[in-house]
Amino acid sequence: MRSEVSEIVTATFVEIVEQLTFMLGDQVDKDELTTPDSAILRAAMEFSGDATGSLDLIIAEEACPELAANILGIDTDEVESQEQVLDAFKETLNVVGGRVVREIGGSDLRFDLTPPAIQNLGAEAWAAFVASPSRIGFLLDETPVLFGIEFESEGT
Amino acid sequence: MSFRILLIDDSSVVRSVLRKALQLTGLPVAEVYEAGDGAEGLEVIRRGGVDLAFADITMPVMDGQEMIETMSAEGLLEQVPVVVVSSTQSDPRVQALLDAGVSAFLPKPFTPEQIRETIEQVLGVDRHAV
Repeated sequence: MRSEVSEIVTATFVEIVEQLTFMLGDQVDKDELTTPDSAILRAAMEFSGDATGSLDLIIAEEACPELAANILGIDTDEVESQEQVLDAFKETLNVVGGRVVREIGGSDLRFDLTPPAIQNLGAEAWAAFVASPSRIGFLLDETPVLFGIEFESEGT
Repeated sequence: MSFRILLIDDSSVVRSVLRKALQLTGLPVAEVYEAGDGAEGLEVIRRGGVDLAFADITMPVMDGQEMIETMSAEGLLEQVPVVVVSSTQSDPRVQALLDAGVSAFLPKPFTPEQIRETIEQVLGVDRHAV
């Protein structure tokens, strides 16, 4: 990922995720991220229009209820269902991803997002995502998160 | 005066956040209805008794764009203003929605204050009268 794109992604991710989840985001070296002990969840979506590409968000499954609780403004034990947990995770990618695409492509960029889809993966998949150059590492409070984007505009 | 608001989004989390934001606006809200897609939203609107609808664009079954076009064709947009709440913040897309008769566009994430200001603007509410 080019450094200027990486800077836009990082600044936008931190700003929007804090507004949405009230969790402090901090970009970190991916090697500093602790590999999750449990299964991991990957939310992925694509965009098309004046630019095409894909976005994804990867997090330990056990961290997702807290994410949902923060978005909903409730305690973790008040989260009603796994469906609500997954819904909140997908919405996080949807909101952050939409803003990131706009910030990279500009406000005149015309694009559509597909609905996010969720994959449940074993913890062993984490290392491959960390190694991917299209992904940036963050800590959300203390929770390791990977955010990835592949962006291709008509001019690139 | 109190308002009857319809929330149209396939995400139950977004509907919950919107519902909570409405409570925090301090505006008098009599009823909050929910719909999971544009088709369900249209059903509620056709039954009457809705003052304002907040709607997403990307939804299954019937997306927000088709719902708005149907409302326009049936003359419902003049009766029930629609505020689009979306994460797709393309200026040409927003302008196309406004040209199609949408009353306002609100980007995600939103704050209760933005919700309040939007309702006041769209419904012509006097802040000091409620």
